[in-house]
Amino acid sequence: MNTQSKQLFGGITNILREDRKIRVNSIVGVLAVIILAVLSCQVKNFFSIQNVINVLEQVSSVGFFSLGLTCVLIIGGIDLSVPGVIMAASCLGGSYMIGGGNWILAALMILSVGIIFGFINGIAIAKGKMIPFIVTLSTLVLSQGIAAYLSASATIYGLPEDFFIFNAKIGIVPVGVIVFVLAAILLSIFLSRTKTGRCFFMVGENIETARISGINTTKITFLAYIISGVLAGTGAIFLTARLGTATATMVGDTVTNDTIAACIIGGASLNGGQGNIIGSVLGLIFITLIANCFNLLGISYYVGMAIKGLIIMAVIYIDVLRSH
Amino acid sequence: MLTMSSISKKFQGVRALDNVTMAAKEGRVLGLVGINGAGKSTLMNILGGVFKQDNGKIILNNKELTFNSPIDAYNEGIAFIHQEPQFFLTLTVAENIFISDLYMSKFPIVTDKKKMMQEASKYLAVLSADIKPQQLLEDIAIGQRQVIEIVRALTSGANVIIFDEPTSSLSLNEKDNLFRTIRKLKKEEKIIIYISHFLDEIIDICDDYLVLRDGKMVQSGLIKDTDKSDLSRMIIGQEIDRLERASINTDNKETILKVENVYHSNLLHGVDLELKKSEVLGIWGLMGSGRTELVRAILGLDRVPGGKCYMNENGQMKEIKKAELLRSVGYVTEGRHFDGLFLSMPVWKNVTSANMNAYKSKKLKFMDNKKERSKTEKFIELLNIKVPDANVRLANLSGGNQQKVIFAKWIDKGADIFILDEPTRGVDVGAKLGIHKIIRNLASQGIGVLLITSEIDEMVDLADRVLILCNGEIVSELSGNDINNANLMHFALEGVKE
Repeated sequence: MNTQSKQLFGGITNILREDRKIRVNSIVGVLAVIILAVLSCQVKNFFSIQNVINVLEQVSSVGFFSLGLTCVLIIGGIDLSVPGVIMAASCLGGSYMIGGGNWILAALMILSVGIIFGFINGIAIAKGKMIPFIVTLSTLVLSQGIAAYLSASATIYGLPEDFFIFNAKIGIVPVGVIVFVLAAILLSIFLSRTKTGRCFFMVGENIETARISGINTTKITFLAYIISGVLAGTGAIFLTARLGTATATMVGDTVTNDTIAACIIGGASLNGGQGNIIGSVLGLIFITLIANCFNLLGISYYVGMAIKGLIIMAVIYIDVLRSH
Repeated sequence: MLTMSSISKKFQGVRALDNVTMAAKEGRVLGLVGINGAGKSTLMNILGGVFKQDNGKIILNNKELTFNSPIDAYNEGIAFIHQEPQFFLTLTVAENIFISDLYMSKFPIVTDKKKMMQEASKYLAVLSADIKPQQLLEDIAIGQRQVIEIVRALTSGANVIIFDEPTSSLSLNEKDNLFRTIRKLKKEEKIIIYISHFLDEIIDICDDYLVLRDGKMVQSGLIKDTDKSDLSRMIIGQEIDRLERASINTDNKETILKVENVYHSNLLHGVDLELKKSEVLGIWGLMGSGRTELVRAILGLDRVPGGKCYMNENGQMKEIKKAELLRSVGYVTEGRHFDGLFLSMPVWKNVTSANMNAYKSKKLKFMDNKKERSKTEKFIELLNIKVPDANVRLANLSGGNQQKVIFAKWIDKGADIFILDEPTRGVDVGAKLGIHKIIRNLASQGIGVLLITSEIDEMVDLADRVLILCNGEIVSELSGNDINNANLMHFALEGVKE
C-alpha cells in the first residue's frame, strides 16, 4: 500500500473502532432513557419533588463510593471493601457518640476509619504487589468483623442532635447532596485536567509503560485507594446521619455490585485505563432510578434484586463490547 | 504443488491484494517478502482460511479448495508456525503436540500417554530435535518451542507449512537449528512458505521468492538469480540508502555515564561500562548474553545487589541511585507493546507522557492539552511520523511509526542519555532507515546512546564503539574499522562455542 492508501486504511479502522465505542455508548444511553420513560409512565408520583429528592439522597449516599471506585477502576484495580469500611466507621463513630463522645470528633473518627482502610488497601496493593480483588475482599471481611464487634451486632441508636447537622437541608436540598456534587466536580477536574489525574489513566492503561515513563506507579496506585477510603469515610458520615443509626448490616449486599455497574455503564472498564466521573454519576442515577421504580411499582425486593442482577450481567457485557 | 492464482481482496474499499499469483512447490522454500502492509499477511490469512478472497483460486495438488474457516485449511494440511507459539506450559511436550487429538486408551476418558510419547519421539527424531516428549513445556527454552509447533503440524499431516517471521525471537544458535529443521522438511517434500523481514535469511534458506508491494506482485523468481540489494529494491520500489558509516573517535569525549560492577543473579558477573557524549555505544552479544538484563539492572528496574552508577553533573561524576537514573534517560524498550506504549491513548498523550510537568499551566497547574497537541504535531513533522493527526490512537499506527512516537517521547523529555534495546525490531525497511537517522542525529547533538541490537548491519552502521558481552561479562571492545560484520560474527559465534 502506498502512504496515502495506508493512511486511508488506518483512518477507516480508526473510525470503525471509535465508532463502535460511540455506538455502544449511545445504545446504552438510549436504552437507559427508554427504560426510565416506560417505568416512569407507570408510576404515579415519579416526578414529584419528594421522589426526586428521595432519589438524589439515595444517589448521594452511594455516590461517594462510586466516585472512589471510579478512581480505583481507572488505575486498573478494584475496591470491594467499601461497604464493610462504611459500617466499621459508622459503628465506631456511633458507639463513641452514644458513650457521650463529641460529635465533631466522632465525624473525624468515621472519616479516619475510611482513610486507615484506604491506607491498608493501598499499602498491600501498591507496595506489597498483592492482588486487589483478594486484598479488598479480605479487608471487607475484616471491617465487617470490626463493625459487628463494635456494635455487638445490635443497632446503635440515639445519636446526639448535633450530629444530624449532616442531614440538614439548605432550602430543600440535603447537605449530603451538595457535598457530593462538590466532590464529584472536584474529582472530575482532578482526573481530566491535572498531571496526577492523567497518571491514573496511564497506570491503568499500561503500568509497565507508566513506570518506564518515570511515573511513580506505587504512589499513584496508593493514592487511588486512599481517595476511595476518604470518600468511603465521607459517605459513611452522611449515611449515618441520614439513617440516624449505625449497625453492622446498614449497607446492603448489593451496593458493591450497584456501584461497579454504575461505573461501567458510565464508561469505566474492569481492565483499567477508562472511566469518568460524570459517566459514573449518570450510571448511578440510572441504577437508583430503576430500583426506585421497582419500589414504587410495588415489585418485591427480591424480584427487583434478581432483575438488577440481570442488568448487571448485561452491563459487564457492555464492557466487553466496548473494548473488543 | 500449491497455487494461489489471481487472488484479489478488498477491505472497506481498499485493495489489500490485487491479482496476486503465488506458486509453491514440494521440497522447496518460497520466500514471501514485502514491507508491513504489503499484503503478505492478507495472502497468508486467505491461505489459512481466516479471510475469504474476493477473486481467485487456491489449488493444491490439482484440487481447487474453498476455505470457510481456519479449520478447513487445517484439514487440508495447511499449517501456520507462529512468531510466538502458544502452549500449555504445565503439560508435557507430547501432550502439547497432540493437544487437539489426544490418544485415548481403552477406557475412553483416559489418555494413552505411552502411545503419545512414542509417537512424539518418532516425529522429534525426524527433526533430530534435542527435546524429550516427557519434558514439561515450561522447561523448554523459548527458541526450541517452535520445533514443537512444527512437530504438531507434522503429526496433523500438514503438507504446506507457513513460517511467519519465525526468527524474530531466536538467538543465532537457535536460528541455525530452525534452518536445519526447515532443510529436513524440504527433504520430506513439504511445501514451505517463509515470511521474513531479514533478507539475509531469505537468501540463506529460500529457493524461490515472491515480492509484494502495495498489495501487488512485484516479481517472483529463483533466489539464486537475485541478491540482497535487488530484493530490497523490489521491496521498497527504490534503492535503499544505508546510512554512510561514520564512526567517530570518542577517546577525548566527556563521559556522561559510568557504571561499575553490575551483577544480576547468574546472568551478569560484574559489568563495567562508560558512556561518552555524542557516541553510540553498542553492546553486542547473543540473546541470553545478558544484554537486556544489563540495562534493566542499570536502570534499577530489576532489583539487583551491588553495582554503582555515576552521572556527569556539570563536569563532575556524581554517584546516583540506580532508580534515579530512569528519570534522566530515554529508554526505548525491547517490547514496545509490553512497556513502551499506551496503545489506546492518542499519539499526543504518548508523546508528552514522560515530560508532563512541562505542560502544566502556570496558575492552576492544569495540563495544557493545546500545547501538548501542537508540540506533538511538531514531532510528527520532525521525525516524519506517518499519521493523519495527533489525535489518532496509537494502536492504529504501524510498528515503525509507533517506535518513532517512543523516540519523540524521550526527545521531548530532553534526555541526554538514550538506551535503545532493539530499536528497529518488527519495523519495515523504510522506517528502519528513518529510525537510524534519528539515532545518528541524537548522537550528533551530544547525546550518549547505548545501543543493543541483534542485527549485525544495524550495529555496524550505527555504533562508534562496541562492547562484546559474553556470558555476563564484557570480553572485548571494538572501535573504528574493527566494527565490521566479520568481527561481530566472530565474537557472536565464539560465544556459542563456550
